[in-house]
Amino acid sequence: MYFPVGWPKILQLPTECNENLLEVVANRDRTLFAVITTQSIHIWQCKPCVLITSYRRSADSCIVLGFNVSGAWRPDTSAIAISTTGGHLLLFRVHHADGERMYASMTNSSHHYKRDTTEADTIPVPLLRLAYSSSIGIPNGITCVCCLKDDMLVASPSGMLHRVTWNGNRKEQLDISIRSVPFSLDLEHSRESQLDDPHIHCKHLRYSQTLGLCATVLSDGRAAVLTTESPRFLPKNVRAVWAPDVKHATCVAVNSNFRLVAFGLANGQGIVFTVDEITGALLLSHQLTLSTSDYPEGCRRAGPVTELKWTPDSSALVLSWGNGGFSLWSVFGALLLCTLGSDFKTSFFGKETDTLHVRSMEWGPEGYSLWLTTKAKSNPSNDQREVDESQSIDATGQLLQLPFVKSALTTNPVLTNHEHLFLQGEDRLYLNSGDALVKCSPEDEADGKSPVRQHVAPSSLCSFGDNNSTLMGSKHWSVIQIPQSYLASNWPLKFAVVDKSGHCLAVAGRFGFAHCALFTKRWKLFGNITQEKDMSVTGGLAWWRDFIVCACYNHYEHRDEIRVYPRISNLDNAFAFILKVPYPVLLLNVFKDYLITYCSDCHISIFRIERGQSAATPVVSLTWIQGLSMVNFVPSPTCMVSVMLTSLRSETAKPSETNNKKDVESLIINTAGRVLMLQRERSTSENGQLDRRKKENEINFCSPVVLASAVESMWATAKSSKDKPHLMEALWLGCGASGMKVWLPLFPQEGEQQHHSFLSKRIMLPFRLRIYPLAVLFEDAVVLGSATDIIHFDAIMTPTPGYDTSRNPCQFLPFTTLERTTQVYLHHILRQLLRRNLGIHALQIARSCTSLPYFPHVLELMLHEVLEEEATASEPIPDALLPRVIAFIQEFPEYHETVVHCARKTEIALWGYLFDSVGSPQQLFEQCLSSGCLHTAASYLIIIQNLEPVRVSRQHATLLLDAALEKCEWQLCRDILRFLRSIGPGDVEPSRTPPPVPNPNYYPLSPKEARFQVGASGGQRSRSMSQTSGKGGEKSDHASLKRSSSSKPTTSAGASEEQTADEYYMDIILNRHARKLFANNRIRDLGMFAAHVDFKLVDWLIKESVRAGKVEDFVTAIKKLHADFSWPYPELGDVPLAKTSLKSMNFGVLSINTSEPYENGVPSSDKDSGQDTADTSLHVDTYPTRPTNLRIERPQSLLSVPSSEDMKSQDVALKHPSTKGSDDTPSFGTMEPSESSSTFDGDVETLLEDSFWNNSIGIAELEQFYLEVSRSGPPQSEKELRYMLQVMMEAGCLEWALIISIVLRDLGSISRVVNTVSFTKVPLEIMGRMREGLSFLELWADSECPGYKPLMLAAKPQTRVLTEVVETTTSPPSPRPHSSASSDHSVGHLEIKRYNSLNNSQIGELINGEDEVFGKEEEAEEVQEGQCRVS
Amino acid sequence: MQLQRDYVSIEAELNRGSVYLAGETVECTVKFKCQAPSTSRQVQSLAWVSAQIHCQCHISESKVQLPVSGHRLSTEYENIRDLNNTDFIPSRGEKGECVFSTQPKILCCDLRLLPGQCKTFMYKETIPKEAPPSYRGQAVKYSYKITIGAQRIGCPIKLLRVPLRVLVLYGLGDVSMSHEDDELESSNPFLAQSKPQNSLLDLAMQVLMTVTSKKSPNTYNITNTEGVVARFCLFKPAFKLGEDIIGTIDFSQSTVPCLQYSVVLQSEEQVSEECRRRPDQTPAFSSHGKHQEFCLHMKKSHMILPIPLHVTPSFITDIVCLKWRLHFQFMTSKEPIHDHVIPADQSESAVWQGPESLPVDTLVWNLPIKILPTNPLQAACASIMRTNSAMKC
Repeated sequence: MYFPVGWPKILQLPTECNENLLEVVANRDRTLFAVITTQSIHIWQCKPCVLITSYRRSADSCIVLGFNVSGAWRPDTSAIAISTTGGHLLLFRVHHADGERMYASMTNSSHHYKRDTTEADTIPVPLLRLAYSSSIGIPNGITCVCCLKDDMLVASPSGMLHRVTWNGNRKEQLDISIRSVPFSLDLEHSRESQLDDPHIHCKHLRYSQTLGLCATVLSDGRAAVLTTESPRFLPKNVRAVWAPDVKHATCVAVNSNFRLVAFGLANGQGIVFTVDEITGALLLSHQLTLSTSDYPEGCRRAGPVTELKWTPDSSALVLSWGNGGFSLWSVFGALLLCTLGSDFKTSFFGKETDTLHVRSMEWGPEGYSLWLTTKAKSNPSNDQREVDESQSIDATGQLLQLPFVKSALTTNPVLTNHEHLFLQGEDRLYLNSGDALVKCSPEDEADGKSPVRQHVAPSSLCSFGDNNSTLMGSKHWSVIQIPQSYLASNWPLKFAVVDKSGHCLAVAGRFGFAHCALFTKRWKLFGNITQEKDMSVTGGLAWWRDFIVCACYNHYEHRDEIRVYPRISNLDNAFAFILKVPYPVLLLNVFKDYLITYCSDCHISIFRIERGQSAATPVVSLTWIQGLSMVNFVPSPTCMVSVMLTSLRSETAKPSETNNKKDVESLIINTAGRVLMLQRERSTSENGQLDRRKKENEINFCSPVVLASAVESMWATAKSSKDKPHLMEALWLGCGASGMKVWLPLFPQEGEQQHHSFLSKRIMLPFRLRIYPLAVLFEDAVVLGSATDIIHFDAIMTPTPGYDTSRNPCQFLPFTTLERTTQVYLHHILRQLLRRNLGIHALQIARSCTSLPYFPHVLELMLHEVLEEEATASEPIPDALLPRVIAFIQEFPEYHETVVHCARKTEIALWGYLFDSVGSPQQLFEQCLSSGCLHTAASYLIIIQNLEPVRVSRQHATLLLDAALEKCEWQLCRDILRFLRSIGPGDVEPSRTPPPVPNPNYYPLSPKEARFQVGASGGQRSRSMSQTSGKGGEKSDHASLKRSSSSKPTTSAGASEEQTADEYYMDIILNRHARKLFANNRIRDLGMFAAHVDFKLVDWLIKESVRAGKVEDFVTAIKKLHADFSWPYPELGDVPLAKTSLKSMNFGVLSINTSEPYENGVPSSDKDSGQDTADTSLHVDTYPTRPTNLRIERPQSLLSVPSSEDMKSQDVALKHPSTKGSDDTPSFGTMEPSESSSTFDGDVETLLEDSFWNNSIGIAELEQFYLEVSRSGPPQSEKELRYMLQVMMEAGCLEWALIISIVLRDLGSISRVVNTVSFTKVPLEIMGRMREGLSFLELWADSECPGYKPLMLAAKPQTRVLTEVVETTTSPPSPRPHSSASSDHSVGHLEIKRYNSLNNSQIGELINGEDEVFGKEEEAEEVQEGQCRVS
Repeated sequence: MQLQRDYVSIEAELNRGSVYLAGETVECTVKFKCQAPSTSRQVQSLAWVSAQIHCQCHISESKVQLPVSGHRLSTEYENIRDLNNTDFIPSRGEKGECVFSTQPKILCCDLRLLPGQCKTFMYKETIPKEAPPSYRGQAVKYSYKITIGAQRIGCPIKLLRVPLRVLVLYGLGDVSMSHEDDELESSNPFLAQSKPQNSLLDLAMQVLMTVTSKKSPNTYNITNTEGVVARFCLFKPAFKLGEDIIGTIDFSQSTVPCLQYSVVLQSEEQVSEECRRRPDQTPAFSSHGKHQEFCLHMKKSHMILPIPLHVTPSFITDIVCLKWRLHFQFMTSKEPIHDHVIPADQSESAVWQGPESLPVDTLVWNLPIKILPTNPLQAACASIMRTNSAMKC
């Protein structure tokens, strides 16, 4: 379709002639424009845009014959006729001097400048001479001149239509008197009458040769068309057909291709009739009227319609109004542009801009520009005050040229152009590439030549995705400039085509064509310019795989041809496949491997395209399959709008039954807006035998069926999808003002045995659109279109002093650009199916689309629209759709979410109606709660808060809080707490809301961001509770907790009476939850919890240190920490390497008592060594937790360096104790890990030399790196652990502090903890547990996790210190508290039992008591040591 | 005939399209699949897989001469190259020299896959802010690739390359520094994740927005020796890739008739002085779009010149400096076009005829403009660069 781009250009008229601009008239091929002023005629060339000649009539002539009124070109441009106010028709001869040209540039030879050529040198400006030839006086004057094929029809106020030849003679015998013409409603049966009023005459006349009629507006405002039986419009049997009910017509325009007659009315509206082929009657098609919702004043203020002009390709209509402004409409009445909109009328600052008063309009070649003349400012009384320069110029009116771009579909409706937003301008192409829309299956890719992006995120299509940046990308247009080298000699562009992938383009102008692949960014033009000049594309361009198919006229041989050029080779006829055709091809299209052409003899031909296999250069051949005559269905050859082959059938089998390979199933044509379908005759078995004899490939088509009328464009896809058969098998029709229609298949249901022939197999669903559709994305369920957007540059202008209007190129119109528009249509379809009780089909379609990113939005839209409609209906609705819609949405998991989002975006007044159908919000809330959709439940809280007393919402909020805590939804917890606090105690008395005034906040709330703002900003809270607004850092945390520790809930009862029960209750909940987390060793969750709900962690921990803070099982606690923080277990040496050959020897030492446990222990390390073990699951996604930067270094150094580096984290500690351990603690000196690892290192070195080194240098060092990477935990976890360590230390939870230190492998921290124990007063039971815990850890490290052994060894001194402290404190003064001791005891037993069950009998014997256990353990270790030494 | 060996297919895909700002982190999913009939129980294994981003600089020998010391490979590379041919040299087989590379990262070692088994790794790497942009000029070419190297035991290393495009936005460095400071302030690590992350991309978009939406209409009065030719107005001096350069031109006050004007968007590639092959070497210009209009009878017009998304914004490296300009050409007439004459005699009609030829003069003018990157997502949308790549190993 047509969209303006930029500002209008202002053309310079001779300033000397101070004459009012009247009319601009183009000649037939729109290369020349005559601009008529009161006294002169100026002839312009369109490209280059330049004034060729002017003729200024003498003043005397004007006085005698009258001033100019309007003009008309002779079809062969050899003459111009001018009608005058004096009732004369002046004829001017336009003399074309052969070969002579103008404005040739002459470069002075003395200059050494490079000779530059102007456009006038490449495109010759013909030297035209305008000479007066004759004048004819028309009695009673002239109202209008209309060009017939050879003559002119001149209407006069007497009611006569005079026939005047271009030689200046009148043919009186051919004159028609309007009063003698019989008028009727059609040409068949209706009663005829003649005009009664003798003063009635023709005000306006438009002739269409194709339709054989002359549309006229009568002086009394009625409108009619005149027809004769003669093809040359001779006055033989002239009859007139009324345009029914037209009373105030002002002007008329005829569209021959679509058989439409448009009348402009005095009330500013337009009315469009179709001409019935059979009866000749004018049937109302549609009206052109501005909707009052978009334009509050509608057409009323616009004034009468002054002019109507169809674009050269008949696909749009421009309409101008008497009070200024103009609008652009598609064939069937979709509004494309209207300058009456507020953004057009006012400048950026709200200042009213000058209205564009159009006097006359004419489309330039191919519709790339609209020539306009504006009315002179004739009311000086009003503007007297501001007489400035521009106004004085404006006294004569201005000549403007407004640039346009149009959809490539208007001239070249091929299948691939329907899949993209593809527009063509005068010198550039606009392609919306944001969503390259390509999901080519491998078979579609042409020999792998087109480097197509395989993956397109569907979210980029979605206009309401939360990621704005992707959205912006897809909104962007790729603008491709057409090379000057092609354009200079072949302007204007006629056809443009883009291929399926959106990466290959081809354009054709006057001669030849050019193509471009976006990935090479290079254009290919004909290498041989004669070849270019010898052909003109006449019938369209299409891509078939890597080939360009074009229907062209061969100027050299004077014949019509279809040619196929390969993209890859040079553009040369030598590589082309050329097929002669007898008639000019008007349209072509490609479907799969079929080419379909439509020729001027109304015949359709179908060809098969085949790619030659053998040739070195790619070759194709066309095989004619069959021809079909369309003569009976096409009123005139040019009426064919588009032809396409599709795989659609009117009855559709279940998708599973058809094989996926799509074949031609039907031929669909659009003639003058009527869509006909010719379905392929699928022969039954008997006929098949007969048909075999016929040509094998021939496709039999049934007789046509009318699918729809008033159709502008059609979309069907050649792709197929198993998942979305409904959407892929649909046919889309663009119907202008009435929106779109989709012809949707209804597949038979599962249970249905036989097809009932009376059940329809397809359904036509109409729906309205807010955009003008240009592309349908079948799989994405989205329609794309474009619209005009406006940039106000005057905002830039004003800062400069004095608002220099001369800078702004046009004071009438703002700068216009193109924008891409998107519309989701799925909800319309679903709703209409539901309305028609076809819910089962709706469900099928919806189910196929659940993966679309905006599917929840679709449901929401549907609910919202139905709700708004039905809740605001003035009368009760007998058959309300809402319950059905709700039941439908209930089928999807998004049900609760949809309802609440919809409610939150609707007025509170409508909630009652909604929740009457859906059920009470409390119920829904509870359902959400039980299904775990906490965020949705939170949304319902707002609803409940508005509909129910505070008590209820608080109760629900508390429930939700519990659930959120349970699910670790920390952010949500924080929000709920804020909500609970904001409700406040002041509102306890049941203040029955729904508030009478709708809450102003309800609408802009987007569900994600401001979930609780209603509550928070509701003004209901009495005090501001949340002064710590969240990001309570550690410091503020600690600072505040010290002060507030005194006023803890337990003690605060008396402190402040405001501290109500709610607050207390909330604290109880939080404390309880914290205790639960703590008791279950969920330290990370505890940290998260405290951070998010602003929990005074340290204070609380101080209290809990002796309660929940006690750690009864160190091993479990450590394991839990590792799991929660995804913290890797320490490793001993190089396990993966050892696995192969070193295992037996290396771990032989260890395996003395714990061989099997160790084997069990290996899998526990496969988190690190990962890939080689236990990969049973097939699709494991493994992401190394932290691939740190590694640098490959020289291999020699690698072996030593990494191993030593490797040690750093854990083995620095390892070496230090091994020396110490030998002399300090001989009893514990069993530390083979240190020794074995050191020997191990050596062994590795030698072993590597032997076995691996020569094979591959890379492996060893790379693995070392890899191990190191996997060994140190993620940095974030480390931060968290350190933070918790600090908190635990502060709060005196020393057991936990110790455990965290161990996990962090931080010896310093361990000793700090131990020091704290020894130097401060720590309850004995804690010390005891710590000591025992450490012992168990040692045991565990020995048996299960040898990686911890070095650390435990290193921590030996600390353990000893701890033991000493415990012993000193226990033995002399105070014995252990019995209760705790006994409990510890029992735990110890339990623990050992568990070990027992894990291990075999060796340890199992040791279940006596802890002391004994240790004793034996020592012995066992001594044995180990001994062995080790032996080896 | 060689026997079809079972192999591991390696597929790499850039998660966010192929265009990144310098400073951003590239994420690449690497997928390994064991392509073997499920009947065979043999485990396929790769010794190691490693990935690295590197930038190759290819120079035109006739125009650029690199100083001996600079722009050499880093020493580590030399070492590795010397050692053994099975080593991982990402730039092997590439033209030009590797001017920049990130440290190689190990994706996995000793990867073992059962037939049909599939594993996915994520490779993440940050492109430093000071890296050169992707650029294809006349004298110099910078191209980026992710190279994924994989080796089977006993086989040579195989390299998989994924090209990517790097855009450089200057002036990001300072801003993001302060941003990092912010991060340090919040000390509770448990809140770190919940904090909305102000990514480098957002930041870059803010910077871009501020720079390119600054509107300061500049009017230029274009004159030659004989008088005023035109008045040109450009609304802003800095543009993003993909944006339209909009300018208006006004001939209403002109005294010199102008037949035609053209505006060409040109990039100017200047080799730095140290690297020039010849001392008198002039900058190389290349054109990226042209607006041309015959304007003899035009009073006011405008031009809309799209900046292609694929060009490289202005940048400077040690070797080359790229600038952008609008190159204007005015074809003026040396003679005035004769006027429309209104005859004194009332009875005479007047005919004005345009001249058959005109002596023309060409006037050239250059207007420097700034071209900045755009949102890489937008650039990626329009780019046709593959975001994925695959090989057998």
